[in-house]
Amino acid sequence: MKELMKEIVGLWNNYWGESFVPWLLLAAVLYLLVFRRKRESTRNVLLYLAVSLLVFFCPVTAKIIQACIGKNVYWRVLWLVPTVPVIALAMTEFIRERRSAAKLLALAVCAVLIVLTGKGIYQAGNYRLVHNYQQVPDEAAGICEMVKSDAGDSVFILAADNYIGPYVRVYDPSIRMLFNREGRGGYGAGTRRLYLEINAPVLNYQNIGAVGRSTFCNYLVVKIPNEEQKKELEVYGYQEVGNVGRYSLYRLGDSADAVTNPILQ
Amino acid sequence: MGMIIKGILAIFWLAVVPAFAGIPVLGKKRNGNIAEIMLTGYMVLFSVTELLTLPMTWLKMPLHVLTVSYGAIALALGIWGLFCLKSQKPLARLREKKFSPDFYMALAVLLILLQVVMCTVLAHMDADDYFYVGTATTDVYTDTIFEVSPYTGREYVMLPRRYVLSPFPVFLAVVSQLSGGLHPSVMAHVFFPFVFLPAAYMVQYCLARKWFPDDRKARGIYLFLAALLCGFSGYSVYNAGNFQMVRIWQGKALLAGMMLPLLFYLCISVLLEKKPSYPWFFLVLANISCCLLSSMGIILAPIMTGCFLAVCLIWTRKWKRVLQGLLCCLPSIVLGIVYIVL
Repeated sequence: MKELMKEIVGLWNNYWGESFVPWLLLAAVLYLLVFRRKRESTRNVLLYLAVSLLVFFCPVTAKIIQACIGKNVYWRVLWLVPTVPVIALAMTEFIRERRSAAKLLALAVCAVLIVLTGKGIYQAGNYRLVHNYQQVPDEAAGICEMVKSDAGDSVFILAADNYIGPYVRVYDPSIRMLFNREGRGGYGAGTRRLYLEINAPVLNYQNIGAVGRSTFCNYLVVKIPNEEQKKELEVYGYQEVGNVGRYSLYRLGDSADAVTNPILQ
Repeated sequence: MGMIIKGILAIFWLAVVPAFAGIPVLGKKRNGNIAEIMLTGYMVLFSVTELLTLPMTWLKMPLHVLTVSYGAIALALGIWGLFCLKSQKPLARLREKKFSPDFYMALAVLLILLQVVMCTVLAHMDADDYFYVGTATTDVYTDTIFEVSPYTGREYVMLPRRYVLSPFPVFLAVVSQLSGGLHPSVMAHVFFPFVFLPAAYMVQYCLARKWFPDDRKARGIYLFLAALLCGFSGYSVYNAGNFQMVRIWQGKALLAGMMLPLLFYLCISVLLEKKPSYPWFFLVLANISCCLLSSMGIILAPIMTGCFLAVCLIWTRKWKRVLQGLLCCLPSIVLGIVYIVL
């Protein structure tokens, strides 16, 4: 029980990060309780808030919900807590009864409070500009275009790391993959090994080439920092097709259908 | 077909059709604002998608059958809405209304527009797309529903049990096909934020109207603060505001940003008010919509409704209402059992 409570508190802390938003929520609750307690809106919202928090923190309900949705996503129960409505409601109640100039000033103060306690979505590095309509990383889009133009009508199989891999079939679903992010969809020890090799912190190109060839992987997408490492891949029959940003595309043999993976037969 | 035509079609299926489809369902509340009408339209169309997709997935029907079925039903609902609108003489009503701009509302709308532009023009890289968007691109390419794995392009050995009950990626595939074959990734990353981010704020606007019915300025202030809170939710990757702002095209994000707040609003309106402002079946629609969006919605929607039923019992002690509320959760409960048993 103690362990579970510790876990739940940990999830609560992770949910808020290092922000002061939970304190803002607490301040909003206290404001509503002290100054607007007779309003129906306050009564409804705060009682629901209390019940939803009780459901989240109570070990019994936590255990039941965890059994249904899984332990690792239990934090999503916090989506039931109406953080935005409660804070916005309390602040609006605080601002609305002031006269025009004071109203603007109060709004500015509340806005500053929100800015200081939270963190801007843009500032958190969530967005960037890309140059394709599909809005996938430009390197992934470039690799897809390159492999399709190189392979023509041939049926082939491709392997890429955890950065490029997830976006390949988002961009072009006609491309077949040996495995995807976190090795999902891959079968067999060889495939697993190629996944681990291609995502290793320090790449061993001999291993990648050897396992790539043994799994009949027609195309490999790898980061190649210098010429020497290109030669290591070439020993195993992989030929460079081209580069996009930090990534290079390698083909096994002279054409896309030089070898046929048993999966494709 | 040109990108502009596809874009217009996307707006037609994602904004125009829901706006009209919501009118007949709102019924007597037909004088409701555009936010209420649109949100009702989304609930209806999401429920239609869920009810059509589940049997078609089990029957291994091709995607084009689902696309045609959904398109026909959505269009029929839209046309029905158009006729309802005609009989209500909305233009005459609009003419009667005096337009008086409000500074705070303008400020809120400006902030929301900025957010929409940011989410639409700029890209957020989310590796979870390999399943959510990947399923849609795969289904469109193979003309199947959940038969081919988005991870590799090979046929599924068994259905992905975590996702099959919440086929929001299939909805993405369907509207992409209806929009002249627009690439599902473009639909998800450009048009979904363009439509669903404002929809999420429509829910906040409805809450503002509920809490400040006679104070327009307060409604503007509330909406501005709600938008600011979401815009400054980058403090963690877990919170609902963050999900809403960075990946609203994924079902779970739409659940966190739009559907759960909408269910919150509906629970207050249906369960806690002396005279419910909406009929009971709105709660059923909201619950089914949550099921479509995410497997998390199958569990979280009845939990939220359950919490409100507890509040309802404390305030009103009306057992009949609690029983009706429980009945509204039945679709979620049934799917929840299937989810756990599968």
